[in-house]
Order: sequence, then C-alpha cells, then structure tokens
Amino acid sequence: MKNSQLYKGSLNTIIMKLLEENGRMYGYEITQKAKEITKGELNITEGALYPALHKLEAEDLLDVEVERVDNRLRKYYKLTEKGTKETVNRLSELEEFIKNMQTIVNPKLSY
Amino acid sequence: MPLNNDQIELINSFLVKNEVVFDGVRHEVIDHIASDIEHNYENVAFHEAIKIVLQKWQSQIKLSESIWVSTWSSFPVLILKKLKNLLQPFGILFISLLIILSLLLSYYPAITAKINKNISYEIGYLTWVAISTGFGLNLFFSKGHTTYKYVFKRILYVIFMNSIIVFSDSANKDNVLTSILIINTISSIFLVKCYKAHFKFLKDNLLNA
Repeated sequence: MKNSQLYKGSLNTIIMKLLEENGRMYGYEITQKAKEITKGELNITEGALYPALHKLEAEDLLDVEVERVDNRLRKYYKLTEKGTKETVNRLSELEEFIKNMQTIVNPKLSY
Repeated sequence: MPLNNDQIELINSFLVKNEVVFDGVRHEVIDHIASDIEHNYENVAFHEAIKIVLQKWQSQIKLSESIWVSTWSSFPVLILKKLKNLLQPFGILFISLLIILSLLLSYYPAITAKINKNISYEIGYLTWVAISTGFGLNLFFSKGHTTYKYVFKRILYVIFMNSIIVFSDSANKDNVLTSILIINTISSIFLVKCYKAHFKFLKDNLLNA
C-alpha cells in the first residue's frame, strides 16, 4: 500500500465505505475499486486486505456470501446492519481527522 | 479468458502444499490469484503469470506461530491472523473471568453460599456438557475444514481442560462448580458463533456445488 503508515489506520473505514457504496464485493474487486477511485494512488496489498476483511467479519461488521463463478468459488463481503451503523460513525471520525490534519498542515485553508 | 479447471487445480494444490488448508480462506485466495492472472496477465503464459502472482503472496503464506492460536503448530500468516481474530476475544474473556471469579469466590465465600441455595451445579454443568458435546460431535463429523471448526475445537478443548484441572485440584467443589458453570456458559457465545458460521459456509458451498 502506498504511504502505508498514513493509510493503515483508515483501511477498515475505506473497505466499509466501498462496501456501503457498492453493496457487496469480493476481495480482488475491492483492491481494483480502490485503485480506480484513487487513480492508482491507493494500492491495497493482499497482506493488508484479507486480515482487515477477516477482522471486520469476526467483529460481525461484515457478512459473507459464497457463489460459484466460472469454475471456482467466490466469497462476497457485505455490511451487516451493525456494520452499516458503524460505517457512519467511522466515516464521521475520519472526516474529523482529515479536518484536523488540514488545520495542522495548512492552517490558512482551514479558515 | 477465465482460467481452466486444471489451472485452478494447480493453484489449489500449491496452496494446500503450503498449509493453506482451511476451505474458506483457500477459496478466496484461489479466486484472488485467478482474478489477478485473468485481468493483468492475459497475454502472458500461465506458468509465467502464476510465478509473478504467487510472489505477491509469499509473505502471507510464510508459516508462523501465535500463543493465542497454538504454540506447537505453525500456520500461514494469513490464516494465523484470522484464527487470532477469532480466538483472542475468547482468550481475553476466559482469562479475565477466571481471575475475577477466583478472587471473588476466595475473598467472599458468602456469595457462593448464597447462590448455592438456589442452583444445582451438578445438573447445570452436566446439561452444559451434554449440549456442547452434542453440538461438538455434529460439527466434528460434518464435512469441510473451516477456520470456525478449528476454533470451535480449540475453545471446547480449553473449556474442558480447565474444568477437569480446576475441579480435580480443588477442595471447595461448590466454589469451583460456580466458576466453571459461569465461565462455560459465557464462553458458549463463541462456540455458538463458530458453529453457526461453519454450517453457514457448508450450506453456501452446497448450494454452489
């Protein structure tokens, strides 16, 4: 992941936001969508994506659906009811964080 | 063009050989690797593409250990992290309850005496053993090898071992039965969660077979 230390803390929120917008997604699709939206700036690695998805699933924020696609099984992730509520909270926290960072990094723009 | 059955089987064999043995995780890694090859290496020979793609997974397939999962077995990092996510909350709750109840029942034996009048521990404990054994046997003999099945086994093993060790070691059976019953009942939340997740996975697989 590019600038991994900066993105790391927000990865779960990014995944939840993508799932909120797209309904349900599978692992590879999430990485491609993130890359597409950020014009290649955000590259979510396999090593970061799956532990994050599994953690969100263990916390009951994500639900899983398995479907056969071509000749293999595909695991889709979608937000649970609890996950949908949590996404709202985490996005508002992230927005607050971005606002504060902007104030620190570029004080003139914050007025 | 989608990969053919032989190519998918080759990826599957590679993962099994590298200890990615749990069905759910293996299926999603196979799908990710296959999707990556299909989208990014369409004009590259399969045997070359697979080498490049598998290189990205090296750090996740490397074997590792964690005290939360097992100190005598190694797992690929990807699986170890998932097992840790499932076992750590149980471990923390279990240890916390053990400490709190031990202290409480040692320093305030009157609490136990008061509860003793109302509850038959033997019946309560035997009921718990009967129910958990029934569900456990149903899960052990079910098809599929999922992370949830593994975690269920580990939690049940820890609970049973704790019950046997503490019970055989203690002079005050009432105190011990109180704590065992409380710990087992609360820990059952995790057993139920794993049981449901395992059978949901099997049901989804069956529908897509």
